[in-house]
Amino acid sequence: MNKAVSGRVAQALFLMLIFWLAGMPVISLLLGAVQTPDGSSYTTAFLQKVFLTRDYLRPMFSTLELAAYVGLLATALGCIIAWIMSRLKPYGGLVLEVGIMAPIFISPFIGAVGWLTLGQPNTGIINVLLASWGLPTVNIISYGGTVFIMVLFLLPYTYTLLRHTLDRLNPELEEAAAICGATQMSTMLGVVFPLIWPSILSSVILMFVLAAEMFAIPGLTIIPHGHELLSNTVFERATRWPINQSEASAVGLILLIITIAGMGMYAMAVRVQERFITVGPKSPRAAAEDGMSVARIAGTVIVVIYILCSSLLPIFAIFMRSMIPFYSGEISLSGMSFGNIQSTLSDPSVLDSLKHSLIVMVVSTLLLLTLAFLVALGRIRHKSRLSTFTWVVASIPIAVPGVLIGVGFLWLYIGTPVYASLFIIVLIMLSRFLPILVRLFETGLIQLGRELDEAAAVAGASDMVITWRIRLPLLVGTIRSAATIAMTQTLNELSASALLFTSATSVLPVLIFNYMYDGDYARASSIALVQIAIMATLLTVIGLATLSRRRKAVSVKPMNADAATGLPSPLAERQ
Amino acid sequence: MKKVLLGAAMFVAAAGTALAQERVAITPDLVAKAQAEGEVTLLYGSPLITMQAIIADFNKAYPKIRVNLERRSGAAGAQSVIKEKRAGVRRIDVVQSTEVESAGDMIREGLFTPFVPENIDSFKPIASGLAPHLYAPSTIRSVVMYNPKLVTEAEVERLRNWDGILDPAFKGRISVVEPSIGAAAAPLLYIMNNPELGADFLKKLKAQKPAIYLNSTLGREAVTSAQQAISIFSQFDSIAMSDFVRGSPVRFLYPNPTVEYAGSNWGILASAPHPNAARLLIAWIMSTEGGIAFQGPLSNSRSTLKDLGDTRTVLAKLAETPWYKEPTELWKPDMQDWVTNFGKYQDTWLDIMKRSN
Repeated sequence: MNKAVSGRVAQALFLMLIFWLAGMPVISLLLGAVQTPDGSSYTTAFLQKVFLTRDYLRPMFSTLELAAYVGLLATALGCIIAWIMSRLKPYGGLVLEVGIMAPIFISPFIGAVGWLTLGQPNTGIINVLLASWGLPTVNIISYGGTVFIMVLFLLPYTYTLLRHTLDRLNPELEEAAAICGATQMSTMLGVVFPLIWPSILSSVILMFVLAAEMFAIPGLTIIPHGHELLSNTVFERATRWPINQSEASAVGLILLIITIAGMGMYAMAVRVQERFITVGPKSPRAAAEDGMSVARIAGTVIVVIYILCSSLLPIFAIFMRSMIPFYSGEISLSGMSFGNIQSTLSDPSVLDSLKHSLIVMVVSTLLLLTLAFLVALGRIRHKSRLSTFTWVVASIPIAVPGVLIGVGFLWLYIGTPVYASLFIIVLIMLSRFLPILVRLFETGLIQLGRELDEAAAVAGASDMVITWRIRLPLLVGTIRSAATIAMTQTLNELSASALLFTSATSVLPVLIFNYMYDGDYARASSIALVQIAIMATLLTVIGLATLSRRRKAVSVKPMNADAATGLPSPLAERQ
Repeated sequence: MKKVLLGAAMFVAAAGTALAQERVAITPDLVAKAQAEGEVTLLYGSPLITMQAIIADFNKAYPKIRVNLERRSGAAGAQSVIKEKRAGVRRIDVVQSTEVESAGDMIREGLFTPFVPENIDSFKPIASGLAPHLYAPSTIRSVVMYNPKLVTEAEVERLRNWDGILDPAFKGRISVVEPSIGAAAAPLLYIMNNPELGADFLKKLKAQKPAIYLNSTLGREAVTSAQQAISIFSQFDSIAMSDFVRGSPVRFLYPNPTVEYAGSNWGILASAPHPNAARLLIAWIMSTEGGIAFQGPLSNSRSTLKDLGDTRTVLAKLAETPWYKEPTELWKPDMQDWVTNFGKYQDTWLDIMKRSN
């Protein structure tokens, strides 16, 4: 077998694997949408109801509207923060980097509970303070409040995408504009924006798709007050009596169509983005720090405010909730206790779930990194119909609501040895988060010019060697980002796990959800704090490793530290 | 039609064939066999700490039997065992259902082993509403929860009558819960079976612009945090009492009449992989010790055993408050009506309260 044929065989086998992981649950959903609820026969009744009647028009338009607001605002704010971090080099860079990414430690549901505690009318902690100072109060239980919370929790993803692009953009272009007399704003609009708009478009589309699927935050804020969204409709049909998972699947198809359209646009944006390759054999020079400029101070303040709103304040609120059995707007120190946190740490069900969660996190993260890198590599470096199809299949689950992925897995695996084992939870993670990690590796690989690969190939290196010796070292930053996102997402995943856990495979988010469902917010918040602490520890370790690597690199090659450490990432160190 | 037939079949089965069912009692032989099996898996819907406390009491009596607790509330739990049965998976032994609607689905699927507890004559009739498939060792009662900072004493008195909530003074201050869970289903049965209330009452309630939550907890949380003054038709006394013990600022009252229903129905799966341990667990649940466990401080429900007094310690504490009053009149839903007609009632509710938006 010659090399080309063996390559195609390997691609085909890989496609089959990805199809099994990401495609089959979606296929089983499609089949589910044309089955009667008891699975005994086939029907188009639910498809007709969803697509040929007006029943779901209202939730569909509400979903599109909310997702559009969130997609645009998250990208705009993410772009501003990425630009500040990349160009203004604010004070406390590494700490701020970690702070910006911190919301992904927190599940959106927990974050929303934190923000409700802070900003609900009458009794929200912030409102109590504002009222006591005679200032106007805020209402987080509103449409605007919902968009605000969703933007806060999605921003790390958009920041990740845009920070990569901005860091690869050579600052000499902006400096040239400045020399020609352009203001910072006109440089931004006239030079930076035209160069990064494909990344901006990618971000808007990705955030739109993720926002369309999200149900935890609106479920707590606007759904009780008459709003209808597709994600909540799917959740209700799939989990509440009378359960109709066939209709839920049919409704989920609307989201799937939105995703496919979004991914089509994303693919076009990425094609355009490839024109802006910025890492070749010669790396761009990093932007210089700007001393004590007003812009730098203002940039630092903006980033600090974001970190305060997105993680510090909600975590503080969750901490408060863990100390008191009920929150009614009155907090007295005498009523607070560490009892819940202490009992959490000795509760066997918490310890069991923690053990399961850590196993799932480690195994899933390793597999996700490997698979996502290979899918992205095929898409960017080994373009063929097979690799493009593999990329499409890996991307499909991105906007299928988690609960429907769970339903798909249930249909697919029930009755097999995988069902009721921890392995099925790992498979869910692979299916759900592969699309996000593929995006990350794709963005990283796009920035690597082909000259490096070609030079190595001319020197006789095999593709394996090129990957091992050139691509992976240059993608260290991307790998760090991807690992962080994979770990946090797999530790927080709830909606699909909640359908498939058993007494022997329960994970922390399921336990948190169950305590929340019981109204035991104190215990749920205590477990959430444990979860956040684990993630904070992991991220600190990654941050310290990054810092240590940076210092070594600087001592070895002080003239061009960037080239020594590879691609920057949201978690990468300051230059 | 299927549900009508199911309802009829259930009650014929309950009435006519009870004597022919397997009788379940704690015997030395059953204990020995259960201990040989060593474990039992319970799928349940009650709050975590409630079930952990009850099972801790069971384990005091039978420490050699490990109980694997799997919490999957309501319809999601029922759906999971139905799917497992269709796929031939044998994993769960005992089901505790908090929803009569989804319990009806499981009975229709033929999931349960029909049985009769040996001491069935010691129970009130309400315990056998879903017999011979499931039995209810305890009951709960519907309450109205309110935030005393947002509701005056005069308003509290108005809330004691069902139509009191229609007072214009309550407009925009009420929260309800979608009747897709047991706690919200039972009051809807009363509304739909009362000619003075019915759909017309729901239309008037809709005009009061209530917030509609997906579950009781969110409704309760909204009242606790003063987002809403009142939570109606989804709260129940056992949870209200447990919250009271834990220091909740929220108060509750029993509307007149008060809906009392079996909120915890237990059955043995026909495919139980640990059939003896399952029978032992059920037999203990239906024993006096089990009844006392249900009346324990983390459960606070009311045993259906005729001769077991009310041992709930919370009652003494409640009696010291100026606001707590026992219910004056009880209304118990007809289980056949619940299983047969609830889907219709739920549709009416959704049409009026949600789909008309």
